[in-house]
Amino acid sequence: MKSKKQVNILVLNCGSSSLKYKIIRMPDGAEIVRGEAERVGAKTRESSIITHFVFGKKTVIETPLADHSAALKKVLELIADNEKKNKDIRFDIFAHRYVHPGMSFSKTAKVNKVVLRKLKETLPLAAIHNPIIYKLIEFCHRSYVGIDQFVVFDTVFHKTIPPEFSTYALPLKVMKKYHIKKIGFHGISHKYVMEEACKFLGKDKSFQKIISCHLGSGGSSICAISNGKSVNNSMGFTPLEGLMMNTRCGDIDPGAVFYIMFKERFSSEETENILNNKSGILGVFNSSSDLRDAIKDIDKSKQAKMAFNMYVRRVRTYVAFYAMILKKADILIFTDSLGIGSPVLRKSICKDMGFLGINLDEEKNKEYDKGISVISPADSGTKVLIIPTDEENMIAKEAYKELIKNDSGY
Amino acid sequence: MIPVIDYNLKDLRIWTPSLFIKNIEEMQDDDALRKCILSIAGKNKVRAIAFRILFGGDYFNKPQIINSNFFPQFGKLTIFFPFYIPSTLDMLQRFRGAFRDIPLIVFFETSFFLNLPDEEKYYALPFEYNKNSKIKKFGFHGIFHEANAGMVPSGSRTISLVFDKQTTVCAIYNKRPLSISLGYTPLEGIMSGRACGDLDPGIVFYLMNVHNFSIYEIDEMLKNKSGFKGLTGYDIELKDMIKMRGKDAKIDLAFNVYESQIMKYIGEGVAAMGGVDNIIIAGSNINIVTPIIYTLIKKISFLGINIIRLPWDKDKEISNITSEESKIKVYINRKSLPAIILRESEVFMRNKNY
Repeated sequence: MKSKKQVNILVLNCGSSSLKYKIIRMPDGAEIVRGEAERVGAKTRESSIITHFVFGKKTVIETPLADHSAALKKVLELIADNEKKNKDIRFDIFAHRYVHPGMSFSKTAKVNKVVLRKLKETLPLAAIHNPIIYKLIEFCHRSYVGIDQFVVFDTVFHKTIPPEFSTYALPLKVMKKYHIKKIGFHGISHKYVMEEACKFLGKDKSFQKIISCHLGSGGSSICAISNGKSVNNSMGFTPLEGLMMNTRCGDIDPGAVFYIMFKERFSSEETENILNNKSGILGVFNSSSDLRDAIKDIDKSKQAKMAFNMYVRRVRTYVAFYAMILKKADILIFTDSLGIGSPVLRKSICKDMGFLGINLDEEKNKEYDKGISVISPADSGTKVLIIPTDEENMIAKEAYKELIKNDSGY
Repeated sequence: MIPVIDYNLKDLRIWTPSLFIKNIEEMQDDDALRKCILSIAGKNKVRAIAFRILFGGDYFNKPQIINSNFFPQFGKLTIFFPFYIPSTLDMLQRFRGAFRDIPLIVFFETSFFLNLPDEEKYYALPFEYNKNSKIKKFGFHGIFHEANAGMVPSGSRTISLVFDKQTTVCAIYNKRPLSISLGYTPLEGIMSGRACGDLDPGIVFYLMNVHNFSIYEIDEMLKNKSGFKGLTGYDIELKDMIKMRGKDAKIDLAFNVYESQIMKYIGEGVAAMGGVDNIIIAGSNINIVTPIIYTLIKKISFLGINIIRLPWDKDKEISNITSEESKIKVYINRKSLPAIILRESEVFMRNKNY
């Protein structure tokens, strides 16, 4: 029998200008430290801050953080200080979230020289996220010799997407040569809410058909899950495909992309930048990239209404598409900031979807406050749930699983 | 009689209703063109000539009689389709020269979709591109979809599927389109013989930035080297390809991807309408893709479809292939595009008192 020794895992989850972290004790999943460094490396008038919680007790530190390594250093200092007062506040291993490993990794990896080299090759795949995380992994590898690091991938959950959904109608040779296929993202989150939903409803995930809507203030994606496995994801080879997002356009006619490049004489880098950083809700609404701001202005601004309607339509397309490939879903999940934060968004997405089994209890939808909640009426064919996602918890679980599998020392 | 003409950059395809194919460049002058059409018509009086035009931009929202105002307006569309518009304009001008005494009626594949709701019409691009560059969904196959829309009562929700050279899915409510799979260009949507259909735009940038593809190489690849040809490596007709289904893994994959793409747009359509009452299937390829139609209907039959007649009646123009109890009715519309245009031309002529 494998021993289940207690391990404290420091989970690091990098955004483009933020670093979320948690120390999670495994296997019981207790949260010892959590926090977030914000405005990392960003050139804004406001200084960077770290909000640091120890056993739920909050401290806020304002300090310049030039990059993610500086942020991590500062966080590690804070943790070291905490440890002096309380021996329980320490960590034994690092676990990182890695956004886009292409097709190079199909499971959680323990960092060594080979893994580092393979990761380095994936940097161009997600030009914003990958280099940041890579630098951090390299930094930990150099500075914390003897502490194991695990890399958990956002894409691994989607490796079960079948070929009819993962293949683009491009020349097969080109796809093979350049490793192009639908990879899918937000896998850590989709897997987490899938497991939580099944636990909450007392269902065996091996027999459930689930549509998971990760609607974030950054990226948004929808996942079709059958018997515990991802079978489709609205994001594609990159996170640009699929839903409309805060600044990403989502699905678009590639012919329109060529037209913009021709007509405006933009380089591919410029066009990519526009489609990734200036489109989506920001592009249509213009005043903000946060859909919640558009919802506030919906009655007075035509563009706000347009952004909302466009966002809703695209979510509905994928919900209906996935409900059809699953032949009705047992569970529909809303998660992440928009999925949790906006009753009117959920209401609009579920409106007139009864023909697919999806019904909403308007009162429960409106009154949702926190935690896990069922917001469909008792007789709804599809149970509609709100579940706050916890990527760090899932990362810790995945790292722990790999750890006890590989390392008999623990 | 009203000959119906479809022009595809090389040949005139002329239905009278028998099909004649003539190369317009081989006709030296207006006289030769006139003689050619009149000889095809034989003893019948040519009352008008109807044309199918692929693209009418923002301006042409219904069929038109060609007059002197037409050409400058049509010429303005060149920027959208530099290969198609000027050549089509030349062709129409030649007809105008040859037939000053006969009305020439133009039908546009895009007119029907000018009525799309905004949330479907626009892409989530910075507002200025949608506005200044007129980047929005124009859709295509509007003539077929509009004819399908005419078959059902206003209050019902219809998914209209057209299997032609291209495959398109349109949601129709109150005679109005609520969604269409094709987009700003004919590239978006469902894959075809050589074009890719839906694609992560990130792939375009990845190939350009990381692997040094030029925009021309990618454009050419997506339009002419992808789709069924790209996935299988075979440059053969769809009707031959479908016969090899089940015997060749690449062909199976291609058809599976094709079906998945169609499913996405059926999903989009039913979501836009909040359900579906009718499914109408039309297009010149319906006989070739019968097995695909069958598979698709089977996949969504849980919505309440009970098929009783497959294969459908090959003699009837329109057949309902579902049972009395079937919640959703499925119709096969075998009408050809020229037949639709001919009928519409007659209506047009009647209304204009020609």
